[in-house]
Amino acid sequence: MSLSAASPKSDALAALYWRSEILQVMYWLRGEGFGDVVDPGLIERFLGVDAAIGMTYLDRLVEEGYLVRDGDWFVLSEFGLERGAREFGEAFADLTKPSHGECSDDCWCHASVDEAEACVAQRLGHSHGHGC
Amino acid sequence: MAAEATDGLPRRFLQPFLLLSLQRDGTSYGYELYETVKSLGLSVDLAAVYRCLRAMQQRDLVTSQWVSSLAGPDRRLYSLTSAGHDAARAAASELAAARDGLIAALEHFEAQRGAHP
Repeated sequence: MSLSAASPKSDALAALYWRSEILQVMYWLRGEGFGDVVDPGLIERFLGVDAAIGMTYLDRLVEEGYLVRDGDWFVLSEFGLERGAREFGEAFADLTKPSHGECSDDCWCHASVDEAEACVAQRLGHSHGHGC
Repeated sequence: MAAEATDGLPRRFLQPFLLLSLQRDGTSYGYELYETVKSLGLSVDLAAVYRCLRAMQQRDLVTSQWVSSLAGPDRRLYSLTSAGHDAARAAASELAAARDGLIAALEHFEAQRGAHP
């Protein structure tokens, strides 16, 4: 599994994080004229999350009504379009403002004790860091 | 021996090119940036540009906003932050230094080849 170093460690926050990341990619691609259809392979290329892991989050978004599954492909639902657009402007404002090179004020580990412990464990294992 | 084909400029130039493109243009959409770096010979795909822009945003080098359009879906418009402008100036200096270093190295090897044909 190769989740992003910025992704949270607890399941609940991870689900929120990846919901935001996946919807953002889909909005971004849609805005750039590439339609609103994705598959796990595309999610892997754009977000660096293993396709198998990405599939579980895509299925979850289907269950939550954000996406509609069409065979191997996933498309934004009307609900996903409307709700997602609103949420990006409001609730996701902080969640979509990730981290870090070092653990910082906006690190996920400040969300809970469990997150803090998981972050310390992860940092002892390997360092965070982003680059391109 | 035939010259080896290349796939374009290395991917490590992606961030400097994105910084300098945004410095020149002020604001740009993601696909415009992708087209620009491709036209400059950079060997990257759209996913790499997206990920680099996200990383740059996380490092506070760029900011973005969703821009509504009557004609189509919302688009994400990118621009440099103050730190991004500093980074763009640094990138320009680094690219110029790399260019000068490469020219000097090539001239050195060309001169050696001339001396020892």
